Amino acid sequence: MKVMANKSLVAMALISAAWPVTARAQEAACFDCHAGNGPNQRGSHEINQAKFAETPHAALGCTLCHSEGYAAFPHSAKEPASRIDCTQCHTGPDAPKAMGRIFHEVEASVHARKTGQGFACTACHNPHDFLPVSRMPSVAEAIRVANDACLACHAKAKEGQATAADAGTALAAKHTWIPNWRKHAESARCVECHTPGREDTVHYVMSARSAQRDCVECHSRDSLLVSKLYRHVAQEQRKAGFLNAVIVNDTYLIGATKNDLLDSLSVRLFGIALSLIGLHAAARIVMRMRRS
Amino acid sequence: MQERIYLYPGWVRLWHAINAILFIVLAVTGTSMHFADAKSAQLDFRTARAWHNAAGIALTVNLIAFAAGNAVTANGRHYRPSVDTFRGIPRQVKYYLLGVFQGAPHPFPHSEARKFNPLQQLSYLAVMYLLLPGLAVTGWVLFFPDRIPERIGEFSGLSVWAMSHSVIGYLLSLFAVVHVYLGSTGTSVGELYWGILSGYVPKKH
Repeated sequence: MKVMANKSLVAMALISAAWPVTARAQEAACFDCHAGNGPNQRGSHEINQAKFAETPHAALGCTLCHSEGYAAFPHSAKEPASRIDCTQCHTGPDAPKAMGRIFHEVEASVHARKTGQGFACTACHNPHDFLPVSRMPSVAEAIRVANDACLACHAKAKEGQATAADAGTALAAKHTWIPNWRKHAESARCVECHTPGREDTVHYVMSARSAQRDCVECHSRDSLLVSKLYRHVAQEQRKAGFLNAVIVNDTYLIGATKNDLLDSLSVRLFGIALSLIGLHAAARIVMRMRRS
Repeated sequence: MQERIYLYPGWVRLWHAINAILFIVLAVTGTSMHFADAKSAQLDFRTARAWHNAAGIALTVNLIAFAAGNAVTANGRHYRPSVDTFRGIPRQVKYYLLGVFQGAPHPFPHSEARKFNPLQQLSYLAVMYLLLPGLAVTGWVLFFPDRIPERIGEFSGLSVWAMSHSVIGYLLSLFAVVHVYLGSTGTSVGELYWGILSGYVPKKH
């Protein structure tokens, strides 16, 4: 595996070095047929070039991943998607964005355990569209993209369900214990609760039975969202702890987002009020005793 | 036997008792959620939420009943300030800061015509017709988080409503503490507490 990864690295280096000449021309040739305007959907042969250009993968061109059978034209177009193996580039100490740990987490996840070895990265991530959370235009967009990946399978009509709407209803029914579920689903990713709490993994997806059910896991000062979703939020936005600078942030989460200034002012004013009451009461008692 | 005046009719006492209980439930559950922490002993978050919501709805109903009661009975007149109310403030403040220690007579003793002293009148007016409705409105808005606009100016819409709710709740808690303490400033310590339970307070001459 390591040898392969290194080979890929060499290939990547060569391609990158030769990018202006060969890869760009080659990519342009691919887009002569494969250009699309819509979202980059899995399995689609139409690729939105503008969206692809924003991804880290754009620098690699097309044929680094679509290698076999695609170099010449007309190509056979029979290469199965499963042959595209992300581990070839993303494994090993020298790999760009080494993801060894993530691969192990996926292997241990309910996804891999239930589907066997067939559970590829591309089942959830679209490499033509992929942006790391830190490069997403907003947290809300990151949440939407992540949850859409889950819903692509988990809100698809299963046996006995006539439509995807039925599947969506069935999914909602499993989450009725969460108040305002839709709002929750817009404010956090499925993986926040469906992976172990307060760890920065979002790939070790557990069975539904093991999902977080304690509200305080998120709704508290040491919210698990710190180690998951908001890990990616720029550090300067949360220098006073988890989103304490509520004013500059985009969200409010009871228990987790607090205005420290307001809280400490409240507690102090309360303390002062109680002290004054105590003093007033003591003075009344003393004066009453003196009078009698 | 000392002459008494019937100051607090039954419906006012019932409203006051319900209001007090609900407010305590709301303050305890609200604080518990605001300072939610997995490591310290707190009310269970889900339980706190359920009680907070139920008590909030009940408090709104009680508030509407109070406003309606004041509209149809003579009780409402006690909340309408006059020029004399503002003129009387210095005397009442002086009483709390000096007179109360010297056993001086109350500057504005209770009567059927005047249930509240000027400070009471103004603070109760603010509490009942401004802060408590504000608490109820912000609370009801938070029942529908998906209808709250995402941004209000440069702030998160949800933050604006939630922080307003917290600040009003906090101000009312501060009022409640002072209110309970000042209840001890009758001629005897228990006189006013007993009054709000029985309806009667001793008549002062």
